[in-house]
Amino acid sequence: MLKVLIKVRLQAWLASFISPRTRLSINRRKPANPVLRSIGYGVLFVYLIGVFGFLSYTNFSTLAAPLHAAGVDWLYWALAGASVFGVVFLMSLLMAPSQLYQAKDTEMLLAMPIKESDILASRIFGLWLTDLVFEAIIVVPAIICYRHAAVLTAAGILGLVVGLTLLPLAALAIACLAGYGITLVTSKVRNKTLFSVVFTLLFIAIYYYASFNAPQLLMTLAADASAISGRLAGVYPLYWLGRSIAAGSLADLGWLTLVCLVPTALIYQWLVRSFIPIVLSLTDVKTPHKAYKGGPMTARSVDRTLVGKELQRLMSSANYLINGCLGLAFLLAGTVYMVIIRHQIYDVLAEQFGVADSLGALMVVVFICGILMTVTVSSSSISLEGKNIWLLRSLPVSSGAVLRAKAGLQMWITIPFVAVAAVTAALVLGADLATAAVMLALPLLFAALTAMLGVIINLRHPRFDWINEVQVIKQSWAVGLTMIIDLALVLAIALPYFLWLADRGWTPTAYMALWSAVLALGALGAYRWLMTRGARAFERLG
Amino acid sequence: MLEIQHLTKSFGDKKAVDDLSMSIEQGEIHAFIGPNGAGKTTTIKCCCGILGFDSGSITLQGHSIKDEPLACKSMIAYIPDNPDLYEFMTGIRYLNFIADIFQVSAADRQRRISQYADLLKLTDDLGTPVSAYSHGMKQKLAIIGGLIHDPKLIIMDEPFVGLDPIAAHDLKELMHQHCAAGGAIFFSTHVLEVAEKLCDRVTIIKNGRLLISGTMEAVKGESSLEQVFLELEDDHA
Repeated sequence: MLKVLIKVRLQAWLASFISPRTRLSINRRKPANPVLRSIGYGVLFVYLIGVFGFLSYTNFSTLAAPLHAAGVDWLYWALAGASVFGVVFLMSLLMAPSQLYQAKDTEMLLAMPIKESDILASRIFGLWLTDLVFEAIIVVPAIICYRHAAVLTAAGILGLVVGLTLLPLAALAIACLAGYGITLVTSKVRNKTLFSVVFTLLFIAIYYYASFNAPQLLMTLAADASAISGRLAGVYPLYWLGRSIAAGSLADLGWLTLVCLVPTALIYQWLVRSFIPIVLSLTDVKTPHKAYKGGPMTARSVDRTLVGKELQRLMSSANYLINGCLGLAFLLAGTVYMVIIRHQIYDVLAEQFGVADSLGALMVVVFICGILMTVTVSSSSISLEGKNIWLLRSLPVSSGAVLRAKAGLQMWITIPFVAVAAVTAALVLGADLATAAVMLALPLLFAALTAMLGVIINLRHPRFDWINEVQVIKQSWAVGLTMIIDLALVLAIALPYFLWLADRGWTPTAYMALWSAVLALGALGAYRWLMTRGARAFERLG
Repeated sequence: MLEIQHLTKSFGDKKAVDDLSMSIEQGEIHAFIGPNGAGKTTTIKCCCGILGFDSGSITLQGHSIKDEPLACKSMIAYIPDNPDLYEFMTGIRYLNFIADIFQVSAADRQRRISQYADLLKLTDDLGTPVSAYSHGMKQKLAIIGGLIHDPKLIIMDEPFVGLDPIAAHDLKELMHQHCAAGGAIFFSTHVLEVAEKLCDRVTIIKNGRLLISGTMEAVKGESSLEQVFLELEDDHA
């Protein structure tokens, strides 16, 4: 039975990438080409692996030679293990509550003669597959860097394979246990969305804090390895992992196997025993009944009603809110950071990015656009209609109005953050009026264009057969493709100027004015497409 | 009121509806009957503008659903067999959403919500999120949402599924009242006894093709609707 469940999960996972049933081509009414889609996903996958793998390579390349020279090779692998453990734990924790306990097929599976251990194991397997990708991003560069400095023995390779399989498994098990705890607490708190948002933002903040501080920590390690290794040796599992790989110590590998497997097995047993009670408690939750008392009603315009409906959808889902609007939190944090460093902003730009004072305004605008790239509310808004799509299709409302509302929500929630960030940047940089105007116009137009692009791409790549909304919010082709196109747009804005035009007499203000005009034309074109071909495409959905 | 002429709709190579012609007149309750996969839901969705069709025409009071979809939709209420409503809204917010889309005035919506919610005994639950509703409660909410703009034609797909006996009785009353006021009702059902007692006219289809359409008396004659249906099934097997 476990095999069947795993097969179904794999099929569902693969279907999200290549299934021709998930969309209809707008122009041809033919199923989308699964080969092209697979290639597209492959490119996206390689790109993401490449970016994060390169970051990982950069970090490990600063450590391999110094730690080997200091005779503390085990520390190198202990750090790799710690990184794997941390990333796997964090990523698993963010996914565990929704993947393990909130999947829509829970009731259906529970109604069948399937052991709960099989249901749980198949879902954990899905998490483990994802974890393997994250682990590979860390471990493969670590191995490459180490190979430049030293050689692994056969026993060391055994330690590497076994150790770096078991350690993340333990991290996954602990994350699942924590996921259980979060699900339990969430089921009891009143404002579940708020709790989930706060919790997720907290963990993301920890992740970014650790990421930003990693280079400094690594430099300290490389400079004073022996002192730090003495302290880290007290963390036995990491020490055993390091020794089993660097020294090929089978005894240490044995200890590591024991400390990973025993807790993992115990936690799994606990999760199996608690699975039915927790999922039943989730389905049993009775919304407190508050008798409707009536009250005055007000009529609103159709456009306001549709935007209001999109806003309610966004605010009702922690997953949607966090993944769609994370960029706005970053933008707010960036704005606050600009205020904090207002007296040294030119120094920071010069030190961190090698940017001359005259290019500061453009650089900040590029940052704002880069952050906006991660605002993905509109690119899953059509897929999220799911089974409700019949409602919008049966109501006397034009498809254009529906699409305008979907793009409009992202614009309306983005504009205040962009405006505050751009005005703050202009003030902090002491920009003149013309520069300040284009510093405001460019990101606002970028926000408008990318909001509409999100809807357009989701129209071309909708998905209504999702089991868990996370599948369309986080893992859908529409969201990934929108981010890639937005990134390409950011690079198209940044690179020509920094690589060529800066030395050829173009002022950043004139350049940003030119791009503002281009983006305005793009936004007009996108709007026109949405109202015409987009509206017709929407009418063919469902 | 509703004219369907030579309607044909295919999904790939399969014709779901094949040259179907029928009409629904003002003031009548019209039952739409057929075995599973006969093309009832496809026809209904075409009438509501949810599905496009390959050929033929559908007009509502002279307006083509293809050429003037918004004009047609503003006269129709569609209540599907499985009402997947916005679960992130409360019942009252959902009704206000529908009322806003149909541009129902504040006074009218207040009166109609109160009237229909009281009748279907849903008033107390209107402040509760739709996600907490049972199937029957969602069905009731969809019915109130359908009636809130005082439609000319109500199209329902299996409307009695999930309703308790009292709600089913109240719905039948509402259907009679609506038709007495000059509206029309077109609904699909597998419950032949209900169709026989409730409806003025009936249309039976199979494999997307019309088998028979006419007044209830003319179709069933001296026998029951169930007998007629089974005989037609055998004849066209």
